Amino acid sequence: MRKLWTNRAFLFLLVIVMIVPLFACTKPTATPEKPEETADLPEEKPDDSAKEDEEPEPKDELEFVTLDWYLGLSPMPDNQMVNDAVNEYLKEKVNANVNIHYWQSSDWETKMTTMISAGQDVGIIGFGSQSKLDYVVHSNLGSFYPLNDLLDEYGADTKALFPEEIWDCMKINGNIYGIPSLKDNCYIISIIYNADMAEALEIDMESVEYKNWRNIEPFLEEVLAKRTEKFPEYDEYPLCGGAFLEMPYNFAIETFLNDSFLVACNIDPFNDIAGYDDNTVFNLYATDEYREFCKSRQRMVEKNIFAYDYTDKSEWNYTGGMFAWVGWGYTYMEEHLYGDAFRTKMIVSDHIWTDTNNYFSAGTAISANCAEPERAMMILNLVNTDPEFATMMRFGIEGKHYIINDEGKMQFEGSERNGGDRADYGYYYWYAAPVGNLTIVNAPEYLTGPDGIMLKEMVRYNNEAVRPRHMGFVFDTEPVTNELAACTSVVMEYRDVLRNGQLGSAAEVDATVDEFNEKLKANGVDKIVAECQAQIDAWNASR
Amino acid sequence: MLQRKGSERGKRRKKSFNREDIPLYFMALPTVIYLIIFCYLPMAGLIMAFQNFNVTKGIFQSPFVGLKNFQFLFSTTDAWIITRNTVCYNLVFIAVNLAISISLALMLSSLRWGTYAKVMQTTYMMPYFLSYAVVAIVANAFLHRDNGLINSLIRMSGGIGKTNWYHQQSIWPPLLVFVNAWKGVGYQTVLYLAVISGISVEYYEAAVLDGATKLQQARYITIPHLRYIVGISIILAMSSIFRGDFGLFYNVPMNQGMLYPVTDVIDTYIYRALTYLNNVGMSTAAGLYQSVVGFILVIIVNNIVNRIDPDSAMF
Repeated sequence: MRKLWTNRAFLFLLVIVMIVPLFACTKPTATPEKPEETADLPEEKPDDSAKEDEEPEPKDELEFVTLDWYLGLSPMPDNQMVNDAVNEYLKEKVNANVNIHYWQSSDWETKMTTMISAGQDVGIIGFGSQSKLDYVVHSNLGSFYPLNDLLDEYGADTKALFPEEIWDCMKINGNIYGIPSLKDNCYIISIIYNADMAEALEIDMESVEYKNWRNIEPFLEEVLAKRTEKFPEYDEYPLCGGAFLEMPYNFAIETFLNDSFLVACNIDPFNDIAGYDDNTVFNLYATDEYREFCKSRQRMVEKNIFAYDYTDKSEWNYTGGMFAWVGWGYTYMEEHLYGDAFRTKMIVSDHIWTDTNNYFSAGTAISANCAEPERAMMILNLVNTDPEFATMMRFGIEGKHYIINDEGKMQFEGSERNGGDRADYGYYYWYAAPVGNLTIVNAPEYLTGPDGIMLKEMVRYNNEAVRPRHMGFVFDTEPVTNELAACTSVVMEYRDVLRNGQLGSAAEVDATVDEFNEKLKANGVDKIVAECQAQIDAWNASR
Repeated sequence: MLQRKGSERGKRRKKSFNREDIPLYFMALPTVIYLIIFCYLPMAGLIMAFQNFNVTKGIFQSPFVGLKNFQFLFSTTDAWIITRNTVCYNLVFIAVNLAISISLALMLSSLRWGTYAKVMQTTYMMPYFLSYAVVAIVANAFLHRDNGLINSLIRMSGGIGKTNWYHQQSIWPPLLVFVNAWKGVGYQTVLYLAVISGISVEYYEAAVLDGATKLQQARYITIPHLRYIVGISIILAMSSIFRGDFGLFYNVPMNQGMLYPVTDVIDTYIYRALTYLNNVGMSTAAGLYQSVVGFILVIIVNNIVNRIDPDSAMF
């Protein structure tokens, strides 16, 4: 009897132990007061005259705070040194410090999602492809702080960087959750080529009609034949670097999912997929153009235009034996991109376009449980508008990591920590899309071109890029979560082997593509397409 | 405890609380605290399997969705394949690892030179401490299409040597069994070796006097003494039979899509399907499903073992 009661008491205690955390997990957090979830914010603009009369809160009256800032950038030796310099700057500006965490992508995938799901205050976080945090998914998960009011009050200068149309694109259920990085916010695809080889082979690159990497197969075959004849010693190298991505290297389409093309639309005037207007959703993998793309890839790999496998082969780029590489986002090409052995030049495709997903590809957000969201916004406003701060985040400290020469231009040679080989630099994060506005960064001429032409061209392309019909539409995947999970798995099963041309022979492509699409159908791809079309129709009707 | 007969256990009187045991309770306390913090307290999080979890709302306020999060596991056409792969691989792993580790333990226990036995034991044990990421790189050194050892040897002997082994489905089931055994048998061997070293020498002396060979000694003395630990090992292994070793099935095949029909298990499917969706509720539901099925199997197998040999059952 005594044992029975002892056992019962122990079991009761065990149940209490398991239930208690449920209540512990309901601890009050800094839950932001979200505006009501509506499709649109009020049309009336904020009363600027009232704001002009208000004086900004003096920084001396701001309480000193420290925040975390997570970046999807690999650590470098002088991270702490630059962090200290950043803190010195921020203390003066907004009486705040930041602990900057530089994380490699593998750490993001394993740790950041867990930290966010646990409700941890992760301060300022980058989102997008480099940060491995999907903007739409995490906005719907409640991972980010809504920025509507913060942008108006503390980030007006940042808000002025983009037109209202772009901020509408960033809205998820009526709230803006992230600040896109002002960089190449469109798809600028190019061929980077070996200028010395082109001259030796007497190839007139200016006459090449380059739209995408599908339409230049005959041209590449011609170049391959010439290279084999003139430089047979280069036969061991593929002709080109990999250009395996379906979009944007090979198809100019509007996409609605992050990592697959189960739902897409044509973009007028490109219309890469026949038989569809720009308002009809299709599954790219089921199109004839995709099948032909797979066959083309298989052919080009078999001919050694592309390599079967580029893993651990980066040294090929520097040998001078390859002819071309794919470029994405380049608006200026330095003369020796791959070392001093040969010159590099570039041809940019005239198919320049953008879509909503592009603005989700890199940016910064504030953690939903951030204790100091106002201060976080002040810091983000600085990094997006102050050239000194933006430059410091990318290139470190003047004198230590770079110097300003007699011509007033930035250079690394002669600096204490970045004077040697790139591999030995103490701090260097060129581009660094997750940080913020790239166009205000002071950079050496060999990166941005004479007179900063790279950044100027970037802004021009952004303004001139073709906008698709559904700019601002975000696909709500909730109604098709199960089908999307299943189809995503299928895509990952077949996609790589098809786009890398790694089948045994060209004869296998048709059978594999058929198998791929049969499996997609069996897992509900038609339901995903139908749901996306229905949402687009409703979105169109609401505008 | 493992070698007591059931009749002896039945006769053993239960002792009341003894003050002399207090130091033992204190010694066990850190482990108990660890178990409570990391095993029992987190069980409250299982509620997320029935929620559409939202970070801002937290566990208590996220909306309840019933069994919806479990649907994705069964709605895919790959449900049978991933289940088949998971269960079959685990069954083969159990059988193969058991046979090899017992054989190794018998052989090591027969070695006369103690130092050599210890060196061999350490050698068998070392792969256990490698992570599968490292093992995958080692495997890649053999299997790489261009630079791998196998294709290099083929080319040296006059062949073409351009086979992409990561696209050949037929080699992967035995290869994964081999890799799992190579990595895991050392640890299990130590377990069985510990039991063997506890067998009284008198049994073997008597057997020698009766003219028993080494094989007969192993068959009639050693293996029967291992019966209890083998039974418990199998019962415990049943709890994980619906779990695939993610490191093995994801890293070693290098996540090659062409191999999914023979290497895809429940854990790798969940990872691949939910990487984009980041759905905490669905991933929790998958883990709960695996744990519940494993729990049921432990009960069933224990009951079966209880009927065959009550002394080998865990409870």
